Amino acid sequence: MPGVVQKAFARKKPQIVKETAVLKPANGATYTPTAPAAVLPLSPNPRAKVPVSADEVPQQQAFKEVVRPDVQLALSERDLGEEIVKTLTATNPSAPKNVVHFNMRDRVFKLDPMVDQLAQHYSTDGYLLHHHSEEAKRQLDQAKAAEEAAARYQTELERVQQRREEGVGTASVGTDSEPPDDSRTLRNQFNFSDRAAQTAIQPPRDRGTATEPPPTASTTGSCSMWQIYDAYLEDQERQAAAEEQSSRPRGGGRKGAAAGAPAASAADDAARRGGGAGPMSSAAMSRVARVLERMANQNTFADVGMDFKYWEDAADGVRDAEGTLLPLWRFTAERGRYKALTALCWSSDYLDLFAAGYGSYGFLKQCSGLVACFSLKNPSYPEFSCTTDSGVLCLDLHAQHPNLLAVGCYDGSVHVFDIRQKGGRPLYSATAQTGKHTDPVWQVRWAAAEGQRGLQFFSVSTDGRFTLWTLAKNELIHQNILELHSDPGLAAVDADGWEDTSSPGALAGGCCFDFNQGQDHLFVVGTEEGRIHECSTAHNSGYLQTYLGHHMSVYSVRWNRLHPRFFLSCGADWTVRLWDSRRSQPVLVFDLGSPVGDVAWSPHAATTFAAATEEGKVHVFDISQNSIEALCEQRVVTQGRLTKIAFNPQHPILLVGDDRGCVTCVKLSPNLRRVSQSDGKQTAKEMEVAKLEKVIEVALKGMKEAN
Amino acid sequence: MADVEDYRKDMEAFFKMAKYPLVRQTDMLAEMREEAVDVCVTAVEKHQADMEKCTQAIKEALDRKFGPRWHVIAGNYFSFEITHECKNLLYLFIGGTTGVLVWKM
Repeated sequence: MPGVVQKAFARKKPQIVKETAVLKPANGATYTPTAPAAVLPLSPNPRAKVPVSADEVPQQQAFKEVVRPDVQLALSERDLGEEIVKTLTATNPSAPKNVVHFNMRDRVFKLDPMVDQLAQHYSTDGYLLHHHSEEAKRQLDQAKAAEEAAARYQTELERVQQRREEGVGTASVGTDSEPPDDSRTLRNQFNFSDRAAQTAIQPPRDRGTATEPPPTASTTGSCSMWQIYDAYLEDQERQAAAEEQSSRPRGGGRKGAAAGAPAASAADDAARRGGGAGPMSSAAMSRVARVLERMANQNTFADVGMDFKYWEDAADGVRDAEGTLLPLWRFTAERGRYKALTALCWSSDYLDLFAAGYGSYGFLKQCSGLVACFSLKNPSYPEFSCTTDSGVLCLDLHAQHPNLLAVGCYDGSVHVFDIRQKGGRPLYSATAQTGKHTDPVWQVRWAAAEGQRGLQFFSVSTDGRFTLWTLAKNELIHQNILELHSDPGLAAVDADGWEDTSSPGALAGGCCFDFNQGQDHLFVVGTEEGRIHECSTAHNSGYLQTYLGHHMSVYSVRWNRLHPRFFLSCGADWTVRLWDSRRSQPVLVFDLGSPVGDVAWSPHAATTFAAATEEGKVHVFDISQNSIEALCEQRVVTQGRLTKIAFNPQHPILLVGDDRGCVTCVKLSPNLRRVSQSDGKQTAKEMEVAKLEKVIEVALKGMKEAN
Repeated sequence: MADVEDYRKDMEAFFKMAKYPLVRQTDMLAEMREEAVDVCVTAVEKHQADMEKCTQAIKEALDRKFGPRWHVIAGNYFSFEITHECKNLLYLFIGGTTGVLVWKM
């Protein structure tokens, strides 16, 4: 740049020097030091004394002390004296030297030779203004205006003062004197305080609703001369037909107007009745009524439902080998009120559904029978009910086809119902022509495996026949698997005070049977005279084994649900007996002090079973905990005898039926449903089986020692 | 020649017969339909020559009566596939020559 002279100067390295003045006040005189000035002495000698005028303060001594920070480089004299050359140049060293711009005209990048070389290191604005400049004029005007305002105010003040004085002088005229406008007086600016408070700001929220768009539909069509023509012709035809229709009754009306109108209304009525279009009898109405009933029941039995789901007897934690039964629902059928409950069967598919059969055990007072299917969700009215001519004694729901219900009656007939058909007639019935039993049918049971010819079920009756029924296309085909002969040879064996009156070859009345869990063909039959026979459907030559022990009619036999070798029986001789199928003598005998109507194994624990007695008590045993007495002996009904008992396949609840036609559902307390937990090595089932075997082993050892 | 004559006579008879509006397709309620048919018939009769004015008149009248966004097609030959708001469709023939389709969307 022109005019800038290159300069070079030398500068010595600076030293930080702290000046300390020690001031001694003389004779109590105060000394005010002047503002300390930071001095950067360029003198290489730090000990140089600042000249002090001795005339003014003779006692005062001021000296300089150089304080060097520790981190400061210790430089030798030579280094300190070294000259460092700095050169001022006109070119800015940090300015770019290669700025190029694209030249649109020549379409090339061109080097910009004129780079701004000005580097501003320091700048400050002065406070002096030229008095001809705009800013200065404005400021002058303002000052002048302020001065004028002050002068005006002053004159105003004086005038008022003067007027007041005049007013005092005249003492009557000074009415219109007004206070001076003192808004222009300068107040103490520190008297003002600005105060503000801020309230919480409500956060904004977005709310929106979307309405459903109005329903739309699509349509297609076309319009042409021919379509219009056809449409009009069609309309003409329709009009003509309608006219004809309306004119015809008018024509015939002359003759039989009186007869015509009732006929029409009758036809209308018939259509209404035939179509079943009445709102009260429609399918939709029945559905709605069903939902309503379900809701009402849900409200009514809400507490029972909660008990069923969640209630556990807390006392069980304290008691060791005792349990209780909590009564839940009671199921009664309107038409089964004066009948005895004779059969119970849970559905295997629907865990809340069970079938109940009603009839009578009395020989002299027989009544018609009733089959009802209840759901736990609706204790007040059965889901399905159907009456039979003769009292029902047994029933069974099919495991794979939960709608099929086999029923055996007192008159020896067997029926199959489809419980989906409300109040309908049986699908199949065995009559006198088709080989029904001649004595009451005491038990029916669906065959586990479907036969080649269709679904099959077995039945047993006191006429001594054990029959297989096959569901053919439109009839029941019967096949006698076995005839139960009372064996005179065996009768002679247990002749201790027990007389066998039956003549050789006479048939023994079967009262109950149960198929083995492991082997489909193996089953045991309990008879009227107290013997239990093991038989097989594979051959009908005779019994595989006969078990002696009961002295009166056997009411129920049940194989263990988990162990294939053990079964239970109960009978009118007050006893429940546990049998090993390899031994003809019972392993354990429990005397319950009253005829035992039914016995049932728990589906989960191999050592737990429940028995229902005619006293109205339910006995629950867990022989792994106590092989002598029941863990729980509880009266479930105050009056009447218990007839049947059934465990729910999954939930810890029991159904108990009595001879008043009432089914009571009870919940087992935790002590009564102890089940082994799988420990990884063995499954729970294997552990249960082992537990049962251990109990039996102990019992057998005890028997041997007694002998 | 006789065929043509027959045809002419036939058509004359047809036009004589087809003087009334024939509702071909609708899902309107009875009251609304009557009003809409009236609107269409009046407009078609008024603007026999100019279909554009006719449709404009119908649309304006319907928008005024039943709220906005009506669509109108009028003419002798057309075909359509439309989406309409339910209860707001009317397709009718007027005078045996003109088809009018109105719908709201």
